[in-house]
Amino acid sequence: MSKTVPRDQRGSWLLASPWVLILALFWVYPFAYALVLSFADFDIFAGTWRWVGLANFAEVVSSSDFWTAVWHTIVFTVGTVPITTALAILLALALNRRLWGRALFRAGFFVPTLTATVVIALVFMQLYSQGGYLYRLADFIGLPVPERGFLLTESTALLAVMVMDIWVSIGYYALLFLAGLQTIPSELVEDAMMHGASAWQRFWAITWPYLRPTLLYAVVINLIKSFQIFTEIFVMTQGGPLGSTTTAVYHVYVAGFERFRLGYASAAAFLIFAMIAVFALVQFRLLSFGRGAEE
Amino acid sequence: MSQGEHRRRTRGDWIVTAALSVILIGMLFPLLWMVVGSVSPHYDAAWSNPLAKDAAWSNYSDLFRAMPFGHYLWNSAVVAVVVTIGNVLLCFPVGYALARRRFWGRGALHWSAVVVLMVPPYVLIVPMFALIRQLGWYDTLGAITIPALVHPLGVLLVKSAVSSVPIEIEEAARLDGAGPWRIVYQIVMPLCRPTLAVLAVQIFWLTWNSFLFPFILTSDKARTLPVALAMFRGYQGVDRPHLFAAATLATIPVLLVFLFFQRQIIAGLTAGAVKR
Amino acid sequence: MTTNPKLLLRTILRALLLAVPVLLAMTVGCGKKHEQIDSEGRRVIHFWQFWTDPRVKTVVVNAVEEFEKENPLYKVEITDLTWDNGYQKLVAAFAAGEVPDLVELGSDWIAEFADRGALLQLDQECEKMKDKYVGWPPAIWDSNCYALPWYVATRVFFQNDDLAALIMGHTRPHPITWARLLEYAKDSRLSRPKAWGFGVNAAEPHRLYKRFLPFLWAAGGDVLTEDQTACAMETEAGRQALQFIVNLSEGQYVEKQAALDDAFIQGKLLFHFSGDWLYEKLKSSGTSTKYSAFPMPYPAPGQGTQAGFAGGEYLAIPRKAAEPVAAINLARTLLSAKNIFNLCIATGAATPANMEVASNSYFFDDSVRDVFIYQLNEAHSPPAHPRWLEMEDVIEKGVEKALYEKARVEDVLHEMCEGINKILADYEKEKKK
Repeated sequence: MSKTVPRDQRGSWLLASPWVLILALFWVYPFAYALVLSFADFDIFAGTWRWVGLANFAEVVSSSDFWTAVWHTIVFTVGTVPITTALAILLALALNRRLWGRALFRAGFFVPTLTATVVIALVFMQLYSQGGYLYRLADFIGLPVPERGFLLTESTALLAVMVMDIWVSIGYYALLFLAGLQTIPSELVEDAMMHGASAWQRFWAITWPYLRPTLLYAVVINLIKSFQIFTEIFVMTQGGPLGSTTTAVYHVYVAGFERFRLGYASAAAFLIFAMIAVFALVQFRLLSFGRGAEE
Repeated sequence: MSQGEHRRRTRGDWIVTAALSVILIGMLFPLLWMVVGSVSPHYDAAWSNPLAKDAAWSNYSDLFRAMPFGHYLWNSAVVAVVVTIGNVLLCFPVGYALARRRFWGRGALHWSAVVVLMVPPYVLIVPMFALIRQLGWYDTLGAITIPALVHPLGVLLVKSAVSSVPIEIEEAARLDGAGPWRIVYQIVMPLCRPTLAVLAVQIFWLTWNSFLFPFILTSDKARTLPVALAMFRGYQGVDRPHLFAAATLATIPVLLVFLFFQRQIIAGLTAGAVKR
Repeated sequence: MTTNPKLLLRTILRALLLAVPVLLAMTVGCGKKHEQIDSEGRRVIHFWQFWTDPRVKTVVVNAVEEFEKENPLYKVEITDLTWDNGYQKLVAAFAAGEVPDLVELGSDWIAEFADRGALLQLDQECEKMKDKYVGWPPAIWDSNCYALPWYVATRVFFQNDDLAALIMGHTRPHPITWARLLEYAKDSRLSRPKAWGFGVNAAEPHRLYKRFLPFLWAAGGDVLTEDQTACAMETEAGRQALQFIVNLSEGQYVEKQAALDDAFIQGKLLFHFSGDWLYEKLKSSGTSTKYSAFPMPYPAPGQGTQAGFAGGEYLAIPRKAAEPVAAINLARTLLSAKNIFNLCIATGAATPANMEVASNSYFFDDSVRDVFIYQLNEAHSPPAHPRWLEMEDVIEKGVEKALYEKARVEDVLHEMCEGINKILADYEKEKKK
């Protein structure tokens, strides 16, 4: 680090100060607290702490419930992220065309995301139940419907929540992709069309490079959110039936707030965080491969 | 995929329109359910005909009588607007610094944003609660506004957006003698208008629908809509009609915000802001 | 070495920025918590409760205002906890070292809080109230009383009179037995999906076990042994009870409680176990379904009891409360006959915690409420044990397996007892530490 910072590089900290301040004031302490908590046995009623070192982590790692929850979370993430992304891209491409009522479509597809998760969950609960409209629709199409409704049957509950999540998210990600698509200069497209490039060729040569940064961002964000799925489970299935929809964060919640084991919950949360970090890093590398150095 | 170019609508366009319409109806159905259910006169049933004679439109006025719903609406609105504007203004310099500048601690700041995003918030609520109490901010709008003024998501979004802006424009401005702040706000930010719009909508939505921290950090004075919605889940069963009515009311402002910003995106682009 | 003043300033600023969180952290631990004296010099009592439904909240607020009028030196600050997430806030506050003066706790939480030394012993107050109030078992832990009953509830069985007339030829089968119940519920004249014999609870935490336990108790069994040292379900009573629910639930309408209630209101279920809220819903829905209510069935003619399930909401005072004496006074006001009566009307409760109130004609002149009050006398509560919630989970998972996976009843009971005995053993081990 040189003593004299070049003129055009000065004031960087000042530029970054809003985040630095918020971070220092509101996030550092809670994080440190949570971190310390994960190494302790905290009795919330007596208000006493007991240092237990790695015991919490050991307990989390050896808990089959934890790994089952993690597995469910992975299934959920792997099941929703690619599908949501693919459908959202298609939707964005469709919405990018000059169609009649384009604004209406864009708003319409985005509305699910605007509605409170709790309410969506409740509505879907009714639709998924034995006799609910989605249930009847599935039956009508000829899909094998479980006797008790989708959310109350072990084999279909998680799937049902996943479908709901995809439904809610598509519009949101489509919007992100749309913004990316709209940065494509029209001359490029006109040029390509004049040269007789097919739609497929146009997509890969022109659209894809502009879509890529947004895609990267969208996938990583979706991944992080999916890994932390909680509210829907909390409202719709409470982790059941027979624990088939217990996800990682739900497991943390139950441990911390229903069993009062905040130390264990903290340790589990940090392990989950580590997993998210690894997943996200892998995705990041995969998708940014080939691009110029970003940082 | 071109804008501003007037070409005839192709047959492909009509097919796509038809397909989209069908999908749209499918997508909106659950919400229609919600709106229809909001005027149900029965305590728990959700199916009703809004045009029927006994449609309980009074469910909406009930909301305002039973609880200070207007107050909660106001709280949500104030918090969402302030946080959104705050993020739009404050995330830009940060994102710019992270994208363009080399300085000590840059990596750490970037990763801190990623970390904050990734840790399940449940373990943070206990110390957050203690912290807010200590600052004397419990049950104040400040408690849920100020810590949210710079959202890590915003920082990351701006950073990636700024990275894809060509550097020549900035160089030119710098040679003209523009200082960093001018560059950020007058040159880079306008170039990132779509991102700005996306950022605004995203932050607004996140804030409007945010539940956990507002729930833990407020009581009835600074309560926001999502927390108020939770109150409709009674001891036994859910008061669906009123909940759906409240949810419908809670969705409309966000929808309006979105519609408004949608126009901004189009306006910004067709004005040639991104022409190279 | 030339010191660049700008660099120095920058370094100082950076150091300050990093020091801020540290300083903040140090102060958080020792600062004062919530307000003890309000702006008008009155002492503040913090009351945390769950009744957020506006109709019911009004009753609570009125009772609180009554207290404030009689005690002008005090001001009560009510914190609302939602039924779904309320416990999160409770735990967050306790963990942050902040406790209310009076708190509402569910019946199954008291033993746990009491065992961890979080609650004040209220033996004297309980003694005073013993004769006038009901619902004491969940409030007692380790021979001491820790909470006062505020709202008690039980479940009875509802019958669709029209379907009953069709199937049984009459509508008053009292006393009904398990065998008869099975017979009627499986009658082929019930045309699915328009009508079902019985509504079975789907996997719903904190609800499913309430279906199994009453039958266990009615057959003379119990969850734990008298001294609470071992699981007592692997008995003939346990087997009978579990087998009965499995038989009863086969091929019946499975759903969550709220949906089952709806189905009953729409006249689709012949029999359904539910609480007083269903009665309120039936009345307010204006449904044309004709119904009656009956106490729980006997296992067999002349055998067993009509045991039902009892639970409720209680008022407790944390040990670290700042104003325990004032809290007790506030509790007394909330628990007065008048306020309990108002609470019952607002919540639609059919079983007041205060027995004097129960003698009001509002309760015993009503054919349905009357049944509830009778049932409450025959009802049992789950064992008051600090680890009850974990045991409840084991029981629910077991019942789920028996109902949905068609597992053998004996195997399920064995598994449940294994789980419960392990929990008990862990608990004993922890106590020794």
